[in-house]
This record gives sequence, C-alpha cells and structure tokens, in this order.
Amino acid sequence: MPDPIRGWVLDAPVIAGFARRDERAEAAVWLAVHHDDTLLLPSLALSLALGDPELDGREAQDALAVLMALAVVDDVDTARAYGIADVRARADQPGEPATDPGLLAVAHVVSVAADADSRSSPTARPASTRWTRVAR
Amino acid sequence: MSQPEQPDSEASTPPSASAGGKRAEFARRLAARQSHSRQVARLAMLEEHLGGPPRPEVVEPVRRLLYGDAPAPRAAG
Repeated sequence: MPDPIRGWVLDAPVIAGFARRDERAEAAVWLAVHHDDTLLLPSLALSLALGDPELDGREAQDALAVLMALAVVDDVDTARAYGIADVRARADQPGEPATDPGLLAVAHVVSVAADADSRSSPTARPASTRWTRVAR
Repeated sequence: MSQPEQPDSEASTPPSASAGGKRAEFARRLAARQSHSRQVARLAMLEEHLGGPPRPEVVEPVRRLLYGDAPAPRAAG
C-alpha cells in the first residue's frame, strides 16, 4: 500500500489567486509549505487559471513559476482520463463538463482528491470548497 | 552449579537481520533529514517570492480554516 499523501489539491481559484498575489491564497500555500504538506496541481485547473486575462503580466507568470516549483503537477494521462470520466459519470448532469472547461477542471480536481483520499489515513478531514485536505 | 548463560538480545538476533534493521533505521533518519532540508528549501523559495512570511492577521483565519486547532507554525526568519 502506498504511503498516504499529506497535502492539498489546488483548484483554479486558488492558483489564480496566488498568481494575482491574493494574500489569502499566499497564506494558504505558505501554511502548506510550512507544514511540509504536498501541493497537488491538477493540470486542467492550471490551464483554467492560465486563461484568466489578469494573469498575463510578468509578475503573475513569475508567481506561477514559483507555485509550480513548489507543487506536484498532476497531468492527464490515460489513468487520469478515466478518473475524470468517472467523476463526470457521477455528476448530476454528466454531459455538462464536456462543454464547460471550468467544470472539466473541477472534475480533474475531484478526481485527484478522490485518488489521494483512497490512499489517506482514516483521519482525513472532509474536503473544503477550494482546498481539499487529501490526507492527514 | 552455575546457571546456563542466557544469550543477550543482540546475540539472539541473526547478524543479517540486525544489519538490515540498522540500514532501515539509517534510511529512515536520512529520509527525515532530506525531507527537512526539502521543506526548508521550499519555504525559503516561497518567502523570497513573497518578500517574507505572510502577515499573521492574514495567516490566522486561513490556518483555522485549513488546519483547525493545530498550533500555528512558527514564522521563519
């Protein structure tokens, strides 16, 4: 059995917030790093954040580079594609994410969190809206 | 009449198992040290970007949200 992952899955609003120098997003990342928690960055959430027109500037791009250096990026490989499809199949309106990139990115976040939860200890905390505690 | 000599715990452990245990302990301590070094390096990189630790009045509500009643981490510096 793999070791439990202790960390957080970042979704697009947190990624974009960090890039925009939002203090709460920065504090969340700082706390996670201070606790030596893993930061998981689903690539679709990153892609969604990159579509934010406010993140075109040099400062935002530098911030994203720092975040990517601190985090583990979860790419969409074959296994993840199946995981995202599984999340979509369980959604209230399974066809919706196919036309909404935001919901597809959310499905990726949920899939990563579900993977991590399945490997986590029984004391894992419930997920919050923007930050998902995947294990403790 | 003397008592038969009792083997001590070290002697009762097969040499290979004892060496394996020492290697495992060394590996555990090395991993812990490397993990700490990685944590320090990550924190240094982040604080260089941020210009230092975030303000306590910003950190505290976020900490309560994410970590509940866990003790606040000591600010680096």
